[in-house]
Amino acid sequence: MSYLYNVPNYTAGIDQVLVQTQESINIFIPMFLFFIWCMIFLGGIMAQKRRSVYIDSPVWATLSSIVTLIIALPLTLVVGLVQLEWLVIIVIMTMLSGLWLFLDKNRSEV
Amino acid sequence: MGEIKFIGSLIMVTLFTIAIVSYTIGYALDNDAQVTISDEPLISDLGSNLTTRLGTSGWTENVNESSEAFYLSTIQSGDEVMEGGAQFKGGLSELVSSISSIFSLVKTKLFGGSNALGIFITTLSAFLVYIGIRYMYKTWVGRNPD
Repeated sequence: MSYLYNVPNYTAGIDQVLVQTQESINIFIPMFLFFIWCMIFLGGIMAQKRRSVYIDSPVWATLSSIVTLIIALPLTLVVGLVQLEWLVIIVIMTMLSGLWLFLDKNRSEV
Repeated sequence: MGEIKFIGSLIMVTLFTIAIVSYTIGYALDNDAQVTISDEPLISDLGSNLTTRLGTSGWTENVNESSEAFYLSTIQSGDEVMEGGAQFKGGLSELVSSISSIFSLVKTKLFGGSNALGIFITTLSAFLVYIGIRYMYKTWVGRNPD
C-alpha cells in the first residue's frame, strides 16, 4: 500500500512519531499551533458573545497567543518539531496581542 | 484617553514585551532547549533595549528626576502657577520609542523587511503616535482634539 507520506516508526517513541510526521509534512506542527490559537480565540469570543453581547477580542487574542506560546515552548526541547522562525512568529504575535490589549480604547478611554 | 492612561498603556506594553521575551529566553536556558529564541539576535536585542529604556538610563530615571525637581520646586504667594507642568513632560519619548522598537522587529521578522508590507506597520505606528500626541494636547491645553 502506498502512503502519501513516510509512515513514522511507532516503536521509537511518541516524540519520534511527531518528529517523523513533521519531517514528512512540514506544516503539521505550525497548523497544529494555529488550530489551538484559533480554537481558543474563536471559542472565547463566541462564548463571550453568547453570554454577554460585548466581545473583548484583545483579551482573547492575548490569552490564545500566550497559551500557544506555552504549548510551543516544550516542543522546542526536541530538534525537528518547531523551527526558530515559527517560534519567533509566535513571540511576535504574543507581543502584538499585548499591544492591542493595552492600547485598546475601550479599556483606557477616559 | 488621558495622558496618565496613555503612559500606563505604553508602560504595560513594554513590560509585557519584556516579560514574554525574558520568559522564552529563560525557558530555553533552564530546560536546555534545542531550539532557543536567544539564537535570534533581534529578539534578545529588543529585550535588553526595552529594559534599558525603562531602567536606569530611561523612563524610571527620568521620572525620578522629574519627581525630585517637582518636590524641590516652590511657589511663592501670588506667583502664577506653571502652565505646562514641564517637569513631567519628559519620559514619553522613551516609551514611544519602545513601540517603534517592537514594530521594527515585527517589520523585519514578520514581514521580511519588505518596504511594501512594512509601510503598513510604519503607518500604524505613526497613527498610534499621532493619537498619543493629540490626546496629550487635549490633556495639557484642555481642548478637545476629537
